[in-house]
Amino acid sequence: MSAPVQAAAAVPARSPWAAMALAWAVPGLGHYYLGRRRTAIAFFLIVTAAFLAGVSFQGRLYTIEPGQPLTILATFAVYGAGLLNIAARLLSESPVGMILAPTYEYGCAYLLTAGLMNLLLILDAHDIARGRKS
Amino acid sequence: MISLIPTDHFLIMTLYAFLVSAFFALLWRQDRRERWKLFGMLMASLVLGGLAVAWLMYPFPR
Repeated sequence: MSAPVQAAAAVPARSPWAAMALAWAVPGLGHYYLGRRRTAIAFFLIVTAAFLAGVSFQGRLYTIEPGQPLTILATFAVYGAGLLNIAARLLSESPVGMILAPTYEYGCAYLLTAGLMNLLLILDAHDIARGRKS
Repeated sequence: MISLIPTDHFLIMTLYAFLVSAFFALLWRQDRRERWKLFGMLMASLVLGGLAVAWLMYPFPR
């Protein structure tokens, strides 16, 4: 048996769906579940920092609005941040942000980026669990 | 708390570039050296690109 095959056999099988669910709930948790612990911690710090920066910059936690089709995409992106997004909505005094704040636009960009980064992590965790990525 | 929030555009842009560059360097590369290389390229591209766009927009303030 060659070395890569032996290494693959030594790694316990992990459920792709569990990896994706964990990755959505907490940034990096899917990678932690798959054994990539140092990378997982780094991903957690990066995505969480981006999301918290977005909240502190008084960005908007989007919700779908009638007549505003782009809010569908924005809401999908922000919900990609998982429990961070839900916690922020529950704890925030103004989930719609402060449109008059000088940092409002930056805050929106940070929040959307954090959610999109976590969506990429979900797909990455899926690929790793399926063996499509080394 | 409010006083801790930076309002400097360049600082906010640089922080954004740092986070995005670190994220994609970790996501797209496995080797440590390759990660640093991609991080540097992305960071430089985002910051210098932002400055270039700002410079091009300077004659059009509104």
